Amino acid sequence: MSQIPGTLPPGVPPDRSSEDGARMRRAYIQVLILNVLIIAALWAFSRHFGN
Amino acid sequence: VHIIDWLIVAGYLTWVVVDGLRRTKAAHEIEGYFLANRSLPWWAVGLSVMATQLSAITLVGTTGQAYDDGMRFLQFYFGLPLAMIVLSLTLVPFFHRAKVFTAYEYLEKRFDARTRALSSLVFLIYRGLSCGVVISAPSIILSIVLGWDLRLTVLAIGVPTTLYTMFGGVQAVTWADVKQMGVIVFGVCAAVFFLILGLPDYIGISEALHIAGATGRLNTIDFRFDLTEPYTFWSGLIGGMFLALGYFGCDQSQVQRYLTAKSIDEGRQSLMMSAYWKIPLQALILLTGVLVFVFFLYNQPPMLFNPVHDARLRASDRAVEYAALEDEFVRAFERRRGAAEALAGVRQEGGIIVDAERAFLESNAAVAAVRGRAAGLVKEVTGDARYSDVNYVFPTFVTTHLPIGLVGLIIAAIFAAVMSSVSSELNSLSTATVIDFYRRHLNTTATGRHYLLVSKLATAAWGLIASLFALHAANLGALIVVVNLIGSYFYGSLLGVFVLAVATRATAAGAFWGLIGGVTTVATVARATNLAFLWYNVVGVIAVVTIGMTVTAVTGRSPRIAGPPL
Repeated sequence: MSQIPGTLPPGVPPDRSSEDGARMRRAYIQVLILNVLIIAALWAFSRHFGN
Repeated sequence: VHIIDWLIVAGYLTWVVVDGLRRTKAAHEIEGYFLANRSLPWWAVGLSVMATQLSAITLVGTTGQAYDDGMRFLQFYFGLPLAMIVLSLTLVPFFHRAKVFTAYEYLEKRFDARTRALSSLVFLIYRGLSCGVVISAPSIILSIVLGWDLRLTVLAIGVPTTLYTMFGGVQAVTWADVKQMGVIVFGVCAAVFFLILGLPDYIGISEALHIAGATGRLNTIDFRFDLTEPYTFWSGLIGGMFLALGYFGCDQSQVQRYLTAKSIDEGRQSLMMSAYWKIPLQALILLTGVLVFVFFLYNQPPMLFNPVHDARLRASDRAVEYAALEDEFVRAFERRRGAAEALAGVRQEGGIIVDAERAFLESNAAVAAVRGRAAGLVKEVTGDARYSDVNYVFPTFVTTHLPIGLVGLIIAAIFAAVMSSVSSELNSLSTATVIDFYRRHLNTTATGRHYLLVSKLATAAWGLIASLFALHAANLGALIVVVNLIGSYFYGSLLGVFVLAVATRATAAGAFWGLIGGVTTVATVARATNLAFLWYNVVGVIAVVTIGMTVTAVTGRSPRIAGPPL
């Protein structure tokens, strides 16, 4: 039996522990927003104090 | 360094080793020894991931870099949060569900044994050598600054780290990393606090930052799209993301951290910790270097921060010339201090700062010029064309200006930074050696007890190899450059193989030749162009995927049967 790319190798059981992905999706969005804000703050910091 | 500081360092080393050895009982079979039975909480794994990445080279080297050049190195990390999200969505669930010990084990399930063996071998060579560099670079600095024998410094780092990693396995590594991360963050915060306290009464933190900013040291973001510039927003975001994907997704020293997590989601959360905190933490470390620069505007620094070169020049036949340069340096420093005070005064009074700022920048350039001439003298006398003393700036500041107790704490933090990286690396080197080679090819039917014994011996052997390499690395400058170059060639190409594995229908032959072609392509590009090194990772991925898919198309798609059970 061949393995379809992007899927599990044969014989490996699927994991049921992360069915609730909503919490992780929220975390990803928070990470993106936070880091955009951090980079924006660094840019403002550079503009204010830098030359 | 006061006896109390030494007691703090000794106390730290004893604490880490004793606690690590206590974990021995939790590692009585191979799954516990290498993966902690996949039982660790996300926050401990997350701190271990961060501690492994933050080596002493980062702590000491980047503060020196910020002192010398400013904070633009921070852009190197801009792609890291994106990489963590991509890995959480892709490789983390793949590795966890496949129940593998090593990232390369997954490549055999997807491709074949030779692709796994080649990837694991590349990892062992690169990580084994770089582990030696991770020990040697801070050992050389500490031995010079503290006046220790280099062998003693290497032993003080190598022996305790090997001991607790060997006996306690990944449990000891992870829980030691948690403590070490605490020591590092506390040490850096204490240094920043003292640096701010150490400013003259008439200089506030805002003035200090404005003065540093006038020299360009706070220019953190550079939006120019210049492929030859090492640190820009774009190289950090794109090249840095590919580097982080390769490092956290394909380097066993990091993959093994999140394989110990209780579940897929806990593994993901552990990576999210770096996604949240890496840029702010690195900004704090770089800001420390900038504040050391401001501190030395008002407190005279040595002309050369490396005391060995300073002593060598004093004893050389160029001593008179060197002494004259020192006099010139003192005058230039006094002039710069006056100009910095004048600039702060004009700013506080709300006056026009243009003239005062120009005078300060001219005086700062004069100090840099004298230092440059002194460095030129070092190069002529020692024959070391690559001489630079930026790595000695922070340790010199710590040992000469911080109060008793804090010196010991920060030396302990530097030790913690080395040990937290080295322990994870030794643990992963042992895992790849035993799982990918010994158990896979040499002795496939032994008992769990036997594999555990071999794993401990492999950890000890890698600790010995890394320490021996570190002892000789002082004389192997060119080799260190080669090790770093191998890393640049390696990550993008290995990442390309994993991209082939999870996102394409490439065959085993495609993956194998793609990996070899990728490393060769990156090496060629590095030799033939001025491309900044962060872009090598992008080139590596593109080359491996292109070559891998071409080989697949030419040789025909042959569905892969899963390898033997592991």
